[in-house]
Amino acid sequence: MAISSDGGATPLEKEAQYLYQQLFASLPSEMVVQDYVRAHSEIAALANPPVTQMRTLDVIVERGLDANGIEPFLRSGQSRHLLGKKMLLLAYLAQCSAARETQAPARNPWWVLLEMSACVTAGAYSLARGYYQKWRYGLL
Amino acid sequence: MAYFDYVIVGSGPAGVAAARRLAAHNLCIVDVGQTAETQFPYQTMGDALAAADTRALLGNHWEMLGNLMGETMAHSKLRAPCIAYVAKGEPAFISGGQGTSPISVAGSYAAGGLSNAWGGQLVRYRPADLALAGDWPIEVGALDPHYVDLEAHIGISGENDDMSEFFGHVNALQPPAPLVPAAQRLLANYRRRQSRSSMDLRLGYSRLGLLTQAHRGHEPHRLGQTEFFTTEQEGFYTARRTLRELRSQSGVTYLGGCRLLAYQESDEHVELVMQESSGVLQRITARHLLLACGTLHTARLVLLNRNEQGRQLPFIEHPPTLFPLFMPSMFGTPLPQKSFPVQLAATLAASDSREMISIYYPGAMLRADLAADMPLSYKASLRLLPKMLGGLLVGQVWQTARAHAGNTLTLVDDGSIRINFCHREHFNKLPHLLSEFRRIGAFSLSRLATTSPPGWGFHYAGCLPMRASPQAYETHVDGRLWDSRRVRVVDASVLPSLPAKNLSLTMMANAARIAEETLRCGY
Repeated sequence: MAISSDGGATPLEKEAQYLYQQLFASLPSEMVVQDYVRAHSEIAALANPPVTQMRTLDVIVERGLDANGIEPFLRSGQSRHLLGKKMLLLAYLAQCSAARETQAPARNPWWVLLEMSACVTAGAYSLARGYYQKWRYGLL
Repeated sequence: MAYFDYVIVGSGPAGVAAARRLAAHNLCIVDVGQTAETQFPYQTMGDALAAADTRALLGNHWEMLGNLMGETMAHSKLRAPCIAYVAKGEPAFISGGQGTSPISVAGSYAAGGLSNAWGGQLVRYRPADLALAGDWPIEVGALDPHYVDLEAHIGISGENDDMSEFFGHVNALQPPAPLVPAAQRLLANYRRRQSRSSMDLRLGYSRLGLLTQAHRGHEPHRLGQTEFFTTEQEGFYTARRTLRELRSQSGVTYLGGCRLLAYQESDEHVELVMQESSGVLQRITARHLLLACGTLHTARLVLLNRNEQGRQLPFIEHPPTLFPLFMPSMFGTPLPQKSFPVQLAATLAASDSREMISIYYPGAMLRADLAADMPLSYKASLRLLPKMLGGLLVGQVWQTARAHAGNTLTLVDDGSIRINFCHREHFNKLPHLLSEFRRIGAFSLSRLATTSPPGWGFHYAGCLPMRASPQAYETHVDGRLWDSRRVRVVDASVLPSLPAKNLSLTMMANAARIAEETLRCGY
């Protein structure tokens, strides 16, 4: 069951909803949100994040910025940015909670290539927007 | 004090291979013997996903997320909650040169050692492999009878196909495991192309310790895609299988939960001091001691026993180069419910360095694991993956590795191991390899290839290399430490170089060879 994005949610739940929507264009299930919150209390890297990275995340959620477009520009070397960690956490939770389909139905390869092209085009647009937003809001 | 003719320390692949040779001769196996604290409760990955069992898949303590939370681990397999115990040995860290932070590498205290996390490719070295790698004081002929014996013991699946010249012809191979559609298509394309015009690429089935038929009372593998979640896999060979058999034999004593702290050699025997898990010290005496603790632990033990903190030993590893292979004609095909990660093996026939290329299907990994390494936004990666996975394979190149002054292992004052791994060979044949794959419908780009970090592949070797005339911290051809009569090393520490192939079967065959030499030594 997907949870609503009403005002009763805690900041962490709102963050989960926002990032999940950014990733999958749908609301997360209650279970995903619960696990997301639990992970934040049990994983040190999430419970005590660097202040600047936390601020970046707050700005993205508060202003409704394009997390998918911004995140690749925050990657550097081996260590992941807090935003990337949280998005990947949601990706793990989405698959493991069976919230997302795990089997791709059989499709014509040409149709798949077309879909992939559309996905890459949308991704390129998102990256351009993310690059601008990262600069515009001074995200680190 | 208990007395044994032979004591083997460690129950990994080398330890059990040596133990099989000594089992009828008053043998004791000393082993920490750790096992998984929790079990993966599903037969297939699909069952776990369908049950939405987040804790089983990601771990009660989120162990599976170690990669994104900053805890660097050697290999994605070693993060899984039911597998992580395999790499909980003595602290050891590796760094790849100046400016790189050291990462933890895997030494194992598990029953069965690092074989609990291996890929199961069990291939022979050929004479040309040893000649190319260099430094080997023995011929492949000395290993051949042990290869044959171990293959019969383990049960190897594969096919005597175009890769036979590379792997050697093996009698009584079990049929290969079914391929995923993309690998089927790749192999069919290769065979069609090869029949029309000669290619430099050789492609065929790998040799796997994976049962596709019942073998010596063991059931075939279920192909349930659980390799990244559990070490408990009926039909997939690990050293634990042999260890179980050895423990049921009379004449073999198994001292589990014991860690070897020190040993003292005299003219007549070797005295061992061990610590039980309760902390109690125990002493036993052996006529011969065989160290099979794994390269990191064996090197540590030998250095510690001689109080040689700070001494540098050679360290050999061949961290593989990984590259994706895209088969657009297979995009969108239904994903198989059953598969095994290792699909095919390849090599370049005209290459002067005979690299082994393993070809994997990554369907048993969680999507986020794959998305994390893709050069796209996570959203794009997660959308593309389900569509691409049917036409996605991953190639892994093993290169020859030799001792180099820049790659050393040291015991530091706190008792941990530090490895500097500053030198590694670049795989400069990748463009040619990719052009060969292109001819059979699999596409990639050199820039998509990644070189795994040192330590990632956990093929460690060469700290105490065997020599015809060993110097300090080298070993004799019969496994004895340079200045010893009764202490031998049988694990990969003694391999003087690593040919560009999986080392596992050779490590076992060499351990069996040394065990036979020990039986024959006459004292």
